[in-house]
Amino acid sequence: MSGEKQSTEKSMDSGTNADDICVSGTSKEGEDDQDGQQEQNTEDDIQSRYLRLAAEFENYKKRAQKDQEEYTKYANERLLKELLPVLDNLQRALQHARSDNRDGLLQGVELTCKQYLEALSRFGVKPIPSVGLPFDPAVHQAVAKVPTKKQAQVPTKKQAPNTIVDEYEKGYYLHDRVLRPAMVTVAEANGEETTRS
Amino acid sequence: MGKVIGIDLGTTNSCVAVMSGGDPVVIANAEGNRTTPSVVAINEKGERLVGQIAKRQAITNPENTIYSIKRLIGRKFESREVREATKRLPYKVVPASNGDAHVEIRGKHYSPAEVSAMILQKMKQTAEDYLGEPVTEAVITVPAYFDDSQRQATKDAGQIAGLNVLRIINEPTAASLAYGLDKKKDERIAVYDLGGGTFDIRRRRIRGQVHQRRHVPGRRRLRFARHGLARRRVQKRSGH
Repeated sequence: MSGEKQSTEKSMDSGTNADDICVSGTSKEGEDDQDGQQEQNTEDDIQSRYLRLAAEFENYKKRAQKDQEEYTKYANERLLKELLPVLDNLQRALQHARSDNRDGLLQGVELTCKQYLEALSRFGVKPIPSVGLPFDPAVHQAVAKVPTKKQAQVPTKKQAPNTIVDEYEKGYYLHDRVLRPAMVTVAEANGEETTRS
Repeated sequence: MGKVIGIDLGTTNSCVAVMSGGDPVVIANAEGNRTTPSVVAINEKGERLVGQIAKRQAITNPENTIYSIKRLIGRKFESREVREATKRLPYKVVPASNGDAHVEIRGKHYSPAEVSAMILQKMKQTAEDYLGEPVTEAVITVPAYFDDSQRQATKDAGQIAGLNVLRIINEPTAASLAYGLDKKKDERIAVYDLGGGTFDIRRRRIRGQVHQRRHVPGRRRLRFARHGLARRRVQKRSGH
């Protein structure tokens, strides 16, 4: 009994699959034993197969977890590589700003900003449009609301009810998900003001 | 047979998990978050919004955005807790014919169980998307101090959401189980539960497989604390 278990464990270590072990196990003991013993054998087989499967599964779980950890640790590598040139350019801009010749500083920073956005967009990050659009809680986070100008005192401002009049912080998509919602001020929906004290 | 899901129906946030390969796994929702705000709203078009999306529009639609519904579930309108809560909640709390506290959204009355059911439905959907199969059975956790009517209302919420609630489990018990404390022998432990708006502590004694409740009334120190404010304060202090 213990001998069989040892042999199965050994063959598992050497990488044989479960079926092979099962066959070798029964043929070895089935040679000189009777029918009753055979039944016992199949039971033992099932038991040992179950135990091995359980052990294998435990190992698989551990391996999968380790892989996952490795992956998350280094997954940012590609992104970071793309962002380093942006840092380089910012440092150049700083160096440039310290010198007397400040021509083109603004332009340089603008270009760096553009470069940054481009790097992000290569990873599926794109800005969420907001001001002037109807408020959509799927992508916008309301942080304040202002009364709708009903009398049209300021016709130039786009203040239709429930539209975005201002943006505090830009929002971004990551592929199809919202990476960060845009923080916005929303014009109040019609008629709300009268009911509130 | 389908999988059974476990739902933490929280005051501020809710969470759903499933046993996978012998371990509990928290399921991320469609927005990619592992917790979902326990917020329900109905916008001016009459659309029902649940979770993060409801929370984001709260400021534009405060009267019709229901949060902290757990503070009202299974309670009477005339109870002290409800009266105090009503003072701070921007939405309308109304008495039902049986004296229970209900809420009013866009002129229609809803029981807290119905509102909770909307949250549970979202959690159910999250699990179904992840598992790729329908889910019909769930275990839901409630605070240890919940009385029978609060537990029953939580169970009703599950039913309304289309879930057969196999068991209502005390939150500290669920926490202890998740940390494998059912495998330890004779021990005394304290379970701290620092939530978004509530804080519970509970002592319990473990003897063999049975969890014994050691101390009955859970203290809600941050009772009626504003949405996440207390947690943020604590996080700040602990540097998180």
